[in-house]
Order: sequence, then C-alpha cells, then structure tokens
Amino acid sequence: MTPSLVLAIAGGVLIAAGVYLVLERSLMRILAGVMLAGNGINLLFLVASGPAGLAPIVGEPRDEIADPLPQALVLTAIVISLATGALLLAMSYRSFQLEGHDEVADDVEDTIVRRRAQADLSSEAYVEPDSSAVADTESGGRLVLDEEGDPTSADAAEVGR
Amino acid sequence: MALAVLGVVASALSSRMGRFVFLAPAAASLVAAAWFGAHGPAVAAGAVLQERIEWMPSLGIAVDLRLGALQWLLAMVVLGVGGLIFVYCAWYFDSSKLAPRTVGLLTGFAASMLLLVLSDDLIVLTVGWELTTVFSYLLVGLNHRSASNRRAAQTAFIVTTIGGLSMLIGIMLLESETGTFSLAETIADPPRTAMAAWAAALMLVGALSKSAIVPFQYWLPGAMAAPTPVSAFLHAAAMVKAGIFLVAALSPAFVELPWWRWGLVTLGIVTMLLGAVRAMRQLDIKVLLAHGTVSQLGLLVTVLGIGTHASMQAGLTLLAAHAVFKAALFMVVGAVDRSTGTRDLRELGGLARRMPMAATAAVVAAASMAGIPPAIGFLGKEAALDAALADADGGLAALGWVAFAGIAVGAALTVAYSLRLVIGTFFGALATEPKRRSPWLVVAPLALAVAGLALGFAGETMSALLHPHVELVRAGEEAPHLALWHGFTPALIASILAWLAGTALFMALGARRRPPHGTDLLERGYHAGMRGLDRLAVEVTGRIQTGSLPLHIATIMLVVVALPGSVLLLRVRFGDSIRLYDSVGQIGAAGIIIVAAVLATTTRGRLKAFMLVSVVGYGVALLFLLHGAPDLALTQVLAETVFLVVLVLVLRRLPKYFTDRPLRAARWLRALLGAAVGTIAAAASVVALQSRTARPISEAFYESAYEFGFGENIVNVTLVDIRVWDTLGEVSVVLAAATGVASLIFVRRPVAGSAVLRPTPGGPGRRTWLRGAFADAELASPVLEMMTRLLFPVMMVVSVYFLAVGHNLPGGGFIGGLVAGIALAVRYLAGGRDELLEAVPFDAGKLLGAGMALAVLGVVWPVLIGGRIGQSYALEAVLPLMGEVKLVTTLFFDLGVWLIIIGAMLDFVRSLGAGIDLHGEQDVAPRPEYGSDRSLPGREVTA
Repeated sequence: MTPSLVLAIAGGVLIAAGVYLVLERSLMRILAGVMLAGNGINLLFLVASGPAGLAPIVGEPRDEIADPLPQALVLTAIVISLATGALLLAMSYRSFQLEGHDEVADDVEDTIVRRRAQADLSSEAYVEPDSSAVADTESGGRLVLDEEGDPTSADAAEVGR
Repeated sequence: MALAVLGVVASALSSRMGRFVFLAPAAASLVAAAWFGAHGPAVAAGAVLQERIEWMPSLGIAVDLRLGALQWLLAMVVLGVGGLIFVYCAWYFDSSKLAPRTVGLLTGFAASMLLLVLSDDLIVLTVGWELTTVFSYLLVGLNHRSASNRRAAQTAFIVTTIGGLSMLIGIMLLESETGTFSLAETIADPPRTAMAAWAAALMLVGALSKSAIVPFQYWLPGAMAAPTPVSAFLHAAAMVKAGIFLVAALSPAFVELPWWRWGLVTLGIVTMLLGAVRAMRQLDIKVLLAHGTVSQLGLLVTVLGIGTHASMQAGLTLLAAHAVFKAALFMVVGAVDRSTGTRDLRELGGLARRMPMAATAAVVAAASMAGIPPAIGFLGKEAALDAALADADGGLAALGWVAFAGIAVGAALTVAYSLRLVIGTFFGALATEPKRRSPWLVVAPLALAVAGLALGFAGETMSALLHPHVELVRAGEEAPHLALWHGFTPALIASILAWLAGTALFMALGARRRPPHGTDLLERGYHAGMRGLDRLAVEVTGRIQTGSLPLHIATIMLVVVALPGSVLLLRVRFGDSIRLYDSVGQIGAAGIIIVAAVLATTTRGRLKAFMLVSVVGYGVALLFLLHGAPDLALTQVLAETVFLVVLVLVLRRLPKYFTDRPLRAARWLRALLGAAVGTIAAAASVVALQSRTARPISEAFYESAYEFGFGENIVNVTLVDIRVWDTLGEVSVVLAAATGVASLIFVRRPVAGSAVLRPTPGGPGRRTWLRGAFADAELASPVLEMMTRLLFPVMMVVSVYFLAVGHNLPGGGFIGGLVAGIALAVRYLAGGRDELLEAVPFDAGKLLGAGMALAVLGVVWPVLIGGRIGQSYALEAVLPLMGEVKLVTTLFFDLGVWLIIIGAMLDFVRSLGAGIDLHGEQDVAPRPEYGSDRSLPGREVTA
C-alpha cells in the first residue's frame, strides 16, 4: 500500500516539536510537548492505516472505506491524552501552589543513592546480619520468647482492631 | 480432594472466631485424611486415582491430580499430621493475641502442599511448590517487627526460591526432551539424553534447597523464628519433605545417571553428620530439634540416594516415621515453652514429674527418632541399614559400605542428641517451675507418639502400601518386607553399637551447657553474596540513574535514534510507491499544523503557546475528517475544546510567561534530537506501510461488525465489542487520571472537597435565569445565563443521542460523554461552582464508580447466561408507534463508558475550575508576580 507523504511529514514535525518541548524542565512546556507528540503519533496511525476513504460504516461501499482498526485505537488515545493532559495540568498547578514554579528538580532519592555509591555503602534497606541475630536463633529461648508470632504486647492493640 | 481445598478456603475466611477457628481446618484435614485412608487398600493394589481439570490446554498444562502410592503417603502426612497440628494450634495460640492471618496462612499452606504432592503435572507441581515457599516466608515472618525474624524469613525464601527457579528450568528442559509435563509419563519412559541429565540435576538442586541439604542447610535453623506449630508443620512434617518427595518421585527415572547415587549419598551423609553435630551443641531445644531435622533429612536423602528397591522402601518408611515423631517432639517443645516460658536447656530440667503426659510423649517420640524398638523409627533405620548392606553385597560395593557407615554413625549421633533433649528437659533437678498447664496441648503429640509406636508393628501393611512405588525402581532385589525382627543381622549389630556409642557420647558431652559459637561458613557466604548484590545495585543505580528528568528522556530518545534509526538508515530500502497527498485540503491543514507546532516551541507566552497547541489539535481533527474518520474528528474537536476550557481556568493563576532558560547550546542539541526522532518516526511509518505484505486484520471487521456486533459503525463496534478489553483498560486510565486530578487539587478531601459541594448560603439573591448563578451581579453575564439555561438541555439531549446512535452512526459513549462534559463546563462558566452543583449535586466519584461497575458488568455478564465474556446479543422487539426497535447489549458497556467520561469531565471542571476558585477565596492559590515568570506560592491548604 502507498503511504501519504503529507500526513507523514506533519506527524514527524509534530513529534519533533513534542520531543523538543518534553526535554524541558517546566511541567507546562512538557505538557505542551506531550500533547503535540500525541497528535503526531495519532497522525502516523493514519499513515499506517493506508489511503483515505469513506467513513467506515456498514452500508458504504466496502472497498472504499478507511481502515477502522487504527481509528478505534486513536479514538481512545485521544481521550487518554485529554485525561493525562488534565493530570499534568493539575500537577503543574500544585507545583506552583507549593513552590511558585513548576520546574522538575533532580530526584532526591536518586541523589541519595548516588552519594551512597560514592561512599561505598550498601542501600538503606539492607540490614547487616550482625552477631545478635545469630544469638536470636541459636542461643537460649529467652531472646525469642515472643517468637510465637503473637505480636508483642505493644502490638496487641493494633491486632485487636 | 476438592473437599479438602474447599474446607481450607472456608476456614481461611472465618478467621475472626478466635483460637478455636483452628478446629475447622483440623476437622476438614482429618476428614480428608480419613477419605485418603479409605483409599489406601486400592492404592496398595496398584490402582491410581486420577482427576483432570484443563488449565492451559494450548500449553499442555492441566491440573492433573494423581494419587499413587507415594502421593498417598505424602497426602496422609500432610492431612493426618497436619490435622493434629491444627488441633494443637487451637490451644497453643491465645485468642487475644492471635494474628488473624495465622490460620489463613496455615490452611493455605496445607492446601498448596496438597496440590504439590498430588499434582502429576510438573508445572502445577511447581506452582504448589512456590506457594509453599511463599506461605513459609509469611509464616516465618509472622512477627514482622523483629528484624532478625524478617531476615530469617528472607533467607529461607531466597534460598528455596533460587532452588525453585532452578527446578523450573529443569522441568522446561525435561519437557523439551519428553514432550510432556506429566510426571507419570516421564517416569514410565525416562529420557536418556545429556539434556535430560542436566534437567535432572537442576531439579535436584530445587529438591535439595527445599529439604535443607548441604549446601543449602542454613536456612532451616533460622526458620525456627516461626511459631512452634508452624515449625512442626512446615519445617518438620510437611514442607521440607517436598524435596524428599521429588527425589523419591524422580529416582525411578534417573537413578542410573552416573552421578546420581554418589552425589545424593555424599551430600546426604555430610548433611546428616553436620546437622547431628550441630544439634549436640544447641541450648535452645527448638533449635536443637531443627538441626536434628536437618540431620534426618540428610539421612532420608542418603537412603533414597542408594536407589534400590529396598532403599526406596526404607526411605519412605523413614519419611513417615520422621513426620510423625518430629512433629510430636516439636509440639512437646511448644508445650514446654508455653508452660515454663523458656526453651533454654540451662533453665530446664526435671519436668517429668510436673508434666508426665508431655514427658511420655517426648520419650516415646524420641525413642522413635533414636531408632529404638518397637517404634517405627527403628523399623525404618533397620531397613535402611539392610538396604545399604544389600548394596554392598551387590554391584555397588563401595557405595553400600559408605552409606552403611554413614547411617550407623548418624544413628549414634542421633541417639546422643535425643538423649540430650529428653534428659535435659524432663529429668534431673527441677529448674523452672511450670507456670500454666493446658492438658489439651498434649493430646496431639501424644496421639502422634502412640501412632509412631503402633506403626512399628504394622511393617507388613506398610510394605504392601508402599509396594506400587517401590517397584518403580528398576534396581536391586525385591525389597524384604518390613518387620521388627529379622533375626540377628549385621544391621541389628550396627544398631546396638550405635545405641551404645550414642549413650557414651551423651555421657561424655551431653551435660555441656556452653553457648554455641562461630557461624556457618555457607551462611556467611550467603550473606556476603547478598551484600555484594546490594552494593552492585547501589553502584549501578548511582551511575545510571542521575535523577534528572530531561537527561533520562534524552537517553531514551538517543536510543531510539541510535538503534531503530540506524537500522532504518542502513538496512531498509524505501519503496517508490508513495502518494504526495490525498486531497488539497490535506495539504492546507498539514501546513497550518506544521507552522503552529514550530511556533509553539519557540513562544514564551504561556497562553499563546497553548493556543497554538490547540490550533494543532483542531487541525489534526480536520485531517481526521479528510481521512474518512468522522468519529475521530468529532472526538478530537470535543476533547480539544474541553481541554482548552480547563486550561484557561488554570492559567488564571499562573504567570504569563514561561521560564526562560539561558542555555542556548542545549537548546540546539534538543532541537537536533527532536528533529532526528521526528524524522525517524515518520520514515518508519512510511516504510512500515510500504513493506506490508499481510492483509489488514480489519478487513474482516466489515462483516463481523454486523454479524457479531450487530452494529453498522465499525469503529464503535470495535471499541465496545471486538476490542472491548482494550477499551475497559483505557477507561480505567481515564478514571485513574480524573481521580488523580481531584486529589491533587483537594489535597485534604474531607475539608476542602466538601466545601465545593456546599452551596453558598443565600443563593444569588436576584432574579436570574439560573438558580446557582453568581451572587455578585458584577460577575454574572445575563446573556450567558440565558444561553446556558437554553443550551444545557439541548446539549444533554445531543449527548444522549450520540450515545444511542453510536452503534450505527458516528457517536458512542466517548463522544456523548465529551458533549455532556462541555455542557457541564458551560454551566460552570455561567454560574460558578454553585451552578455546577445545581447540575450535578453529588460527587463525581459516584459517576465514575457507577460507570466502571456498569462497564465491567457489561463485559462479564454473558458468562452468567452461558455465553463468552464480551459476547453481544441483539434484542429485537416491535413496539407500537416506533416500529421495529433493536437493542444491542453492548449499549450497557457504552453507557458505562459514557458515565465514566462524564464523571471525568466533571472532576476536571470541578477541580481545576471550582477547586481553584475555592483556593483563591481561601487565599491558598498561587499568585502570579507581575512581569515575572514565577508565582508567589500559595499557603499550604490546611482547611
């Protein structure tokens, strides 16, 4: 089948503009980029669906209708773009409300991990198997008196709920 | 069989009955055990009970339950011993402090263990296997506030899971050789290839890890952090037997592999001796028993590893014996712990006079463990020694002698630690006075101890019951029948020597009360490995994950350019069939889009940029229309409009200009990257269509839309029928996004959210077209109010019309919902949040929830009348006046979509419009600074 060049170019330009904006730090510009790129991708769906035609409705001549499957895919994509767009908008507003701007800062958790890596430390979640742990299971019963899986007295209230 | 599972599930649900809830699974287990017991004679006669439920027929996987002799033995252990442990639990746990999940986890474990042993399909067996691992993890970590408990649970989990994965790989390899997942068929016709040997080795790794055999033994003593009944059930009677079960089940097929016998016997003996020596050093009697279990599991592997008729019979007898006596001993230890509050040998002693029944149970069970007649333990051990000797006489001289010596030394050590346990706890001077006594706690261990004694006299019956599996092993002579007295044989001499040596060892070392010291080399290795893994993860994450969003996205885009892009450039040839355009209108629309998009990237004005984005959106809608997609064009126009309204509502509070970023060089790099990605995407779509050879799948939609979907609008039928699962997932995304928007604005929902749903007192207080109009006449626009009054009903009718005709003409739930959303937005614009509340006087969540429920029901309901999920039906009726009316059932699904979209639109308008209004009134909204690209942050929303 033969693709339509105009549609492909329009889609490509939209995606290029979208990628350019998505690489920003301002959430609002990212939002604009996502919307442009989303539209561009939807256009490429049209390119992939072959030549233009009549509306895909039973009753129209069978050989002249446009391919309905990409249309169904794009239809839900439009609605989802709207929903994610609104979510980004709300995030941006919330960011202005808290910070006075909507620029995405570097991730704090990632910075912590990077510092730990530079200091040759293990992750925060990792607990060293210390000697007391061995005593827990291998020496007397005293240490593991509340082993029975009954929560310790401090937790009884929580379980009672 | 289903009965057992059913009982188990029912009791898991009723976990709020206090401690006696344990009696329910106990009864279910014992009844099921009786059922299995009744089938014993049939199994002994070689009959095989089968039950088959297809699961994944396309993969050849089925829940194929198969009850042979081996499965029967294990099922009896799980249900019989397990049932008694459940009885014991009822008096062991305190109602007040019992964690509700305990009973559910234990019964779940019993069910999965049963699945494991009864399944003939190796994949289903793996499922049961992994389930027992998970339940073990949860039960060991029952007290999850203790760090050491958590670590013990994690160690047990990781070690057994690694084994389980290895086993799964082995099963896959085996299937590639035999072409079946059936255990029985594999054994009937075992493959002899090198690949099958690898498969057997991998499966063996799984078995050894599960049964705590060296080099995996260290997880089992740690798992003693679990409550004692759990230890008795999982880590003595049932779960650790899974590995033994697998070895016994696979032996007939693979015993002739050159390394099989030597490998198993060597590892078994090492484990047996190591565990026994460690047991001698323990002070905590429960941990002593745990090391004893490791030792006994080593013994089982040794005996089964010999791989003859006689050894199989001996091994299975020992398996039953161990389940019975070890569970009894654990329960006695639990009873002692309960009544004295300690398990430390230094603080125990002389309890025989205070707890005579418990002492009796312990002595009888320990006698079985030490192999003293007439208990079943003696029976099994004699048979094992006999089997080893028979081998020594036969073709496997060296192996037989090694096994014989190992078993004999192990027996001596077992005698020693049995004495240490019993005498240390129950005899000598009284050390700690028992504080509370529960006679019921002793019932279950006593019953098991007596059973162990009685089974000792049932050698003949045992032989008969085990015979069908024993004869599967094609090696060695016919197994001699089990009996207490075989005459004065070498085995008996070895036993007597073991008793003497064990007693002497106990005399020499048994009184030591030095705390154990030093750690396990293998365990240290495991921890070092885990630490290394963690460090590696930190290093890799620290290097790769910089935390900068643009950098991450740029990396992804660079990969897009580098990989698919270079392939496109180097390998793909562009075809020459290309149309420049479909129509002149297309060129015009595309030109507008391109100009608007480029301008949108360069402008600094916020509103201007988004206006340009909207121009692009409407232009795309025009392209849709020209392409022959009216549904798309309609949806796009409506979505664009809704977004524009919502956007302007938010922009009121934001600065006029975007932040100006000074890095010019970076900007050119970004532009370059964007251009590259855009070019590649466009080129790829062109090439994809040019090189297409298959016919589009949607060609058949033309017919099927009408035949199956009963609709004429093929796009809509695709959405609500042919690809209905997709649509369901997509509306779920919309629902989640709408909820997210609402939560971002109404951060403290109960306070701020309800204010939006509370009408301003007093109302407008003037004559208006709308009941919820602005109170302040300055804000109100009478023309807009009048238009709204007139337009809203019309728009809602249009919305319902789109919904109703969508199946046959352009329209449907999405389009109808968007129209209704615009109608709501108009109401809000004309009268503010009071007017929106007039329109929809309840929370948007109700619309979203109702819509989702309707959509799911609309997909699933045909199952109730025997159809397929997502099937459509057409109801036709002739009504007076309206003529023939056809109702397609997918309308209900579309109705759900419609409601979800309306709910989402309502959430958007209410949050980003009314919610932000409210923030302004409460002085928590951000205030744009004049002439700046920043805002003053709003105060944190508190009320």
